Formats: sequence, structure tokens, C-alpha cells
Amino acid sequence: MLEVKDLVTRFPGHTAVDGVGFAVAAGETAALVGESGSGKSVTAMSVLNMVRAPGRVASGEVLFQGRDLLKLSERELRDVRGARIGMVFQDPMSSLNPVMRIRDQITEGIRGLPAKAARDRAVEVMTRVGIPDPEARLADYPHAFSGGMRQRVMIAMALANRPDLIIADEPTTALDVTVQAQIIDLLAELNRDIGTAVLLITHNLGVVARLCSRALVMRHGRIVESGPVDRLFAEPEHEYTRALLAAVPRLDGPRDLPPAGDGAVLETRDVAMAFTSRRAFGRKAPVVRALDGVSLSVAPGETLGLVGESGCGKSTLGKAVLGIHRPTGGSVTVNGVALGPRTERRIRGDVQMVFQDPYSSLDPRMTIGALLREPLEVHGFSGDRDARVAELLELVGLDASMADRYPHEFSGGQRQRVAIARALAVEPKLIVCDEAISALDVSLQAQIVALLGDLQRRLGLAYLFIAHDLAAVRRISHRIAVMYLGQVVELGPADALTGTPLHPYTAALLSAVPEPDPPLERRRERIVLTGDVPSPLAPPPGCRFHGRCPVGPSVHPDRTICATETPVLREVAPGRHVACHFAAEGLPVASSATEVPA
Amino acid sequence: MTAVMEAPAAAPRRGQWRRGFGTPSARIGLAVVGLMYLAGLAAPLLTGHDPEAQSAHALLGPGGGHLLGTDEYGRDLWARVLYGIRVDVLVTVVAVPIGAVLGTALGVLCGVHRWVDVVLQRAFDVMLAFTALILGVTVAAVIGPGLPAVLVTVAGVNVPLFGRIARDAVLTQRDLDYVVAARTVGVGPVRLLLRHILPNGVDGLVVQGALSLSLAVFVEGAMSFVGIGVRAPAPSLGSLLRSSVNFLHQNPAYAVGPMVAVTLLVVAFNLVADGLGKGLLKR
Repeated sequence: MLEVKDLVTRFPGHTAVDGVGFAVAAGETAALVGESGSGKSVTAMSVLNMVRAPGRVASGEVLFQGRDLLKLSERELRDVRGARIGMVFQDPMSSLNPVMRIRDQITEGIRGLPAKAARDRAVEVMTRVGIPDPEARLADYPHAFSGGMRQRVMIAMALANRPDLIIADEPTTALDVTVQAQIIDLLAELNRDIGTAVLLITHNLGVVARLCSRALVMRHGRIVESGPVDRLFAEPEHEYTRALLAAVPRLDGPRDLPPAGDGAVLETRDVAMAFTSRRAFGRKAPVVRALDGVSLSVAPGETLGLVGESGCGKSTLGKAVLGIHRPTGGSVTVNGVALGPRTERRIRGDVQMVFQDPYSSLDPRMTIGALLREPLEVHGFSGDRDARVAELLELVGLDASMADRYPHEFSGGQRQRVAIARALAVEPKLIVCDEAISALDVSLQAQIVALLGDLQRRLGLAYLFIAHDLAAVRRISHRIAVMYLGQVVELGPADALTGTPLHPYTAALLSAVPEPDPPLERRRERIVLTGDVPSPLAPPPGCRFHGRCPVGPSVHPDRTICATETPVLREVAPGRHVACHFAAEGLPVASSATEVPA
Repeated sequence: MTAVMEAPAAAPRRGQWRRGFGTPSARIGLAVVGLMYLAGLAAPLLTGHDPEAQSAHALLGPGGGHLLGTDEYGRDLWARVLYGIRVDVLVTVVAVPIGAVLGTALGVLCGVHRWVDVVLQRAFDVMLAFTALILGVTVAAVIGPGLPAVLVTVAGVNVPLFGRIARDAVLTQRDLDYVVAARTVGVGPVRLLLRHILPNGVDGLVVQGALSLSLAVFVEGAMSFVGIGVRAPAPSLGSLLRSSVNFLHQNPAYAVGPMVAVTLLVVAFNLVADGLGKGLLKR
């Protein structure tokens, strides 16, 4: 149906797509896989002839149902885009027009139907993509929808003209794993039920394994390998594909961690954080309980992983540990010193932080050397500062000669190394890594994780490793804490927790993580959580998870205790803590790790 | 694309300055300003006439010994325009920086302290609600008309303008990752402001600076024009314009010199601001 031949797309100074050729058959699910900068998105844009100047398609053919899209006029192209080929973009937050009703946005693109029929079509596709109560919601504006729901709306828009092909460019990258699982299932269902072909563009090999039947691996603008996913994942031929697969963290992969020490560098006791949203005249302001009674400890040389969906409070906890946000309740103790206004400066010498986005966490106006020297100056480092800067750069695997350069001259992975070097400058005992690898490509993730492990071994560092990717967290953590709506729901040794989760939420998170193993993905039974995380403004009473719980009152009506009584975090086995009234009772699915034959 | 964002391409200082001042409009503007300031400073070399020396040859047209003719007291207009430019050099070089520094400092304070912010912002509102000329009249009423009044007014007009921009810069920068990152490293508030926040927020201030220079020329002209600025017999572009109005039919060329000079200066400073804005603010 779609056949791309020898496609070449050039930008001034480089060739983004360099002789790419592939075909997508009707009703097929194909994936274009690659890391950032591999040219996969530009390929998709070239297919629709939508490459923005100064880039342009230099040569090649894009045959869609027998016509070369590159030779069509802009008018003819518009009849193909949207009508025959639907597009779904990465960020559902910015791809919907915030001042237009959903109805108008969906019907806007519908061709050749009278207004009434178009409206009916809109209701039909909204139902199709699983938006509850579509009739009523059509009149809503995008802000009334959550991220996952917006992505459903985007898919509904793409479906509105009953296209033969949907091109989805990283459709789940901006979403939480549980929501990602919902969207993948939706795409798979659409493909199965109405035969829409899907061309998925992604860097996530797990998503490919779950959804697609064939994959094309791209690198430097070329397709290096392609084939059915079963073969590609089991016996990759190209060395790049092998490296890519090896870099993906697995829930059952090997781990090599230095032993943790005794005692605690960090201890939080009943930490609470309540944000008061803007005060309305005379009315009591609603309070967001971002953290509610969090008690955790990290030993010297230990890594504690902190996972949960966005909005669960994991980043807030990280910031509370550093004193960026002052907790409204409870206490934070670092190395035996309680965090307070007076001890903040002193504690800054013991705790440091590495941020998610290495592009924004380095001051663009300072050289790498100045950035690294700053903490030394602030803390009155008395030795040779230049030598220390060189030492720090070498510690994180960078060349000492790079000190004169500015952050913009570095790649994302290098910048994150600089950020780590800066955190190391004051010789901290604990580093809070707030989604420190989430913005990086898998191969870079693997490198940074290796670097962190190496530093831990050499310097005896402890980490509080905050991330939403359970597989990545498991690879580096000794213990893992799972958070939901401001509370810790499960805490335990990393292997035990991912192998036999006790809390249904942990089990759901685990089963939502797509693994780069197609046969496993097909075999695996999944717990798909319905809906989104409830608003922390009005958390549900009792167990906060009970509304979405697969073993809770919605499935077992006799379990009324879940809706009335808040379960406390208790130790059920040595080192294993869980906050659930029915911990490990009849969890529908164990994780993949136990399912894989040894 | 993966979740990795494109680099915001925030180039370091030096490259940006080159980009800002390298735009054609900034270059033309700078050249014009430079030439006129040079002419003002080198006035004694460019004319043999004393700008305040009266003669019997009143209201002559251009030509003869007088390049632009003479005024109603027989003073050489070319000399008066040249010496008049000196007033604007003074106003732009002294009063604008004073206003800019004061305004920036107050704006930064606003960004740091909540109650200071509430009070100062309302004060800025009041100041911005009046035109520069009304402020000038008030100042002149208090300290008496003359060059000091012009300087005070120009500085005063600029305080809220720079205050607003500096405050916005602090507020937007304050929560950015690298500022938070610097805090976690242990950087104190003063260093945070001077090393991280202000350098990254300086672009808007620089562009406002160029705009303020043109505003300064304009305010001087307006104040002298209505008679509360530079006092006779000292020349200034504004007072020259004012007196020329009375003799437009006798000597139309009278108005040409000061008019062209004021217009050129204002336009040139605007061109510089324009070029800087393109180079610095557009990312």
C-alpha cells in the first residue's frame, strides 16, 4: 500500500534521510525504530511531503496506493493527508488547539460529509477510541482532558476519515507507562478490528515488541536492518540492532551492584508536603497533598529507586530532601543532621542533585569549567581548583580539555555527565537523580547507568534514583519504593519487588512495562489499569488506589474496607513492606520475571 | 524524536553580541549615532562660531559664513546644533545609565521579595501612567527648570521601564532548572542573582537600553521645547526647535537643523534597539 523508494531528504549541511526504502502492506503494523537523530521522524514527514524548509526531499519516490506523493500538488496532497493517512504526534498536550472544542477539531478534518453526519462520525470515532460519554464530551475543550485522553482524541481525529494508514510518531513517549499500555492496546485493537495499517515511529523497543509485526531499524538516516519482530529481536543480524537491544533494561536482566553499607545517609520520617493552590476570595484554598507521610531511608553506598506515575510525588520528595521545597510536616535527616533553615547550607555539601533535562540544568552562559568551579568556590575549596575540575571531568569520562567549552557544544549524554561531575564536586554522600536518564536514548541511558554504578563503587555514593521506568530503576537499585498519590505503597529489595510484587499497583506497573521480547509480550497477560491517576486535590478516601485496583472493591464488592480504611505500610516479610489490605492475595498476574522459564 | 529536546541553542555571550550588533539595522544605527556624537564632541573643530555669540545679522538664510543661517539674535545655527547635540550626549550617557541601574536594582528586589514587589510595582504603575513630559513638569516645579531637571526626568522615566523588565527576568529565570541546580550546589542568593539570573535575563535590558536612549533624546527635546529644559542662552536641540517655530515664515531653514538632528538620533537609536532585539531576543 505504501512503498518508499530511495528516499533522500537533505537539510543544509547534512543528509537526514539517506536512501531509505521500505513498504507497508495494507493492515500491517510496522515500526520505524531508532535513536534521536536517526532520521525516523524526518522520514515520516518526508512520506507526507511535509518537510519544513530549509530541509527538502532531494530524491526518491513515495508510492501510496499507486500515486507518488512527492509529485502531487499541495491540493491533491491535502486529500491524502488526514483522509487516507492519519497522523498522531508525540505530545498530546500541544497538538490540540486549546481554544477549539473537541467536536470542531475532529469534524474540521472530515471530508465530504454534511455537518450532521460529521458530528455522528465524531461520536463514532470517540466511542471507537474508548472515550467515555462521547456525546457530552464533544463540547469540551482540550484542557478538560488528561494526557492519555488527549492522545485518544488525537487518534480519534486521525481515524475520522477512516484512513488506510495511521502514522504515529512517538505516540506514547510523553505518557505514563500505564497510560502508554492503554494507548498501545487501543492501536492494536484498531488494527485488528478495522484493519487500519499502523506505521509506528518510536525509540522504545518494548512498544515495538508489543504492537508491531515488522520493524525497520534506522541509524544515521539509513535502514540498517529490517524484518519480522520475532526474528529481529531473537536473532538480530546487524551489530547496531544488537547493541540497541542489549542497552534496553530488562526486568529479568542481570545486575551487578556493589554491596550497600549500614546505617543511613538519608532518613525521612513522615514527610508531608501540602501545596496551597491560589487563594480564592473568602474561600478556603484547596490543598494539594503532594506527599503524605513518607518514611524512607537510604544507606551509604545504596541506591533506592523511587517509581510511580507522574504526579505521585516522587520528584517532590527529591526536592524536599535537598530543601528546595520545605516539607510541611515530618523530618528529613541527612547524615544525622536534621534539615532546617540553619543546616541547609551544610547539608548541601552532603546531598546533590542531577536533573532530568541536561539541556536546561546547565547555565548556558557559563563554560563547563566555570560550572564545575562554582561549587568549589561556594564551598571554599582550598586546593588547586583547576586540577580538581580536570579530575572531575575525567571521573565522569570526559576530557579535561573540554573545560573551556560551553554546554551547547555538547550532546545530551555529555551534558548529563557534566551535570554529574558538578554534583560530585563537593564530594557528596548522596545524589538525588531526578529522572536523570529519562530524557536520554537507550544506549546513552545504559552508559549513564554504568557510570553511576562505577562512581558508586569507587566513591561509595548513595543514590535516590527517581524514575518512572521500572526496568531502568531495577537495573541500578538495591531497593525500590513505589509511590502512588503521595504515599509509599510498596518498598522492598529490587529483585523481590519486581519478581513477586505484593501490591496490586506494583503488579500493574510491572505489567505495563513493555519488554523487548515479542513472544513474551504476546503470551503475557496484562493488568491494564483503567483511567488516570485521581487528582491529588481530592484523593479517594480509604486506600487511594481502590478505584483503579484490579483486586479491589470494583472487582470484589465484599472488599469494602478498601474504600473506608487507609492501609498502613507494614512489613510482611523481612525487608518487604506493603500498604494493602489484601497484599498478594490473588494478584491476577505475576510479573514477567517469574514467567520466563529459567 | 525521542523525549530529548532540541538544544535551545542559547549561544554564549560573545557570539550573541556579534549577532545582535551584526544586524544591518544595528550597524546603520550605531554608525549614525557615532557620527553625530563625534560631531557634537568635536564641535569646536567643526565651526569657528561661538554658539552663544550674538551678532547684528539675525535670521539669515543658509549660506555665506553661516552653514545653516542664523537665529533671531544672529547666532550661528550650525554651531548651536552642534553644541546642542552635546546636551543629548550628556543626557544619554549620564541619565539613562543611572535610571537603568536604579530600575534594574529595584526590579531585582521585586523579584526577590514579595512585599517590596507589591509596593514597588504599584509605584511603577503610577509612574508609567504619566507621560514623561508630565513627570518633567513636576520635576521642574520642584527643582526648577534647567539641565538638572532634564537629567532627573530622563533617569526617572527609565526606572519603571527597567524595573519591569528586570523583575520579569528574575521571575522567569528563578525556577529554571539551572538556577535550581545552582541552588542545590549551594550557591547563595547574591551570587545566584549576579552570576546566573541577571546574565541570562540581560537581553531584554539591553534592548530596552537602546530604546531608552532614543526616549532620552525625545524627552530632552520635549522639555526644552516647552521651556522647562535647557535654559537660554545655552543651546539644545529642543530649545532650538521651540524658538524656530516663531520664525518659520521668516527663516524656514531655522527649524531644519535641530529637526533633522533629533529625528536622526531617535531613529538611529531605534534601529540599534531593533537590531539588538532581533539578534538577542529571537531564539
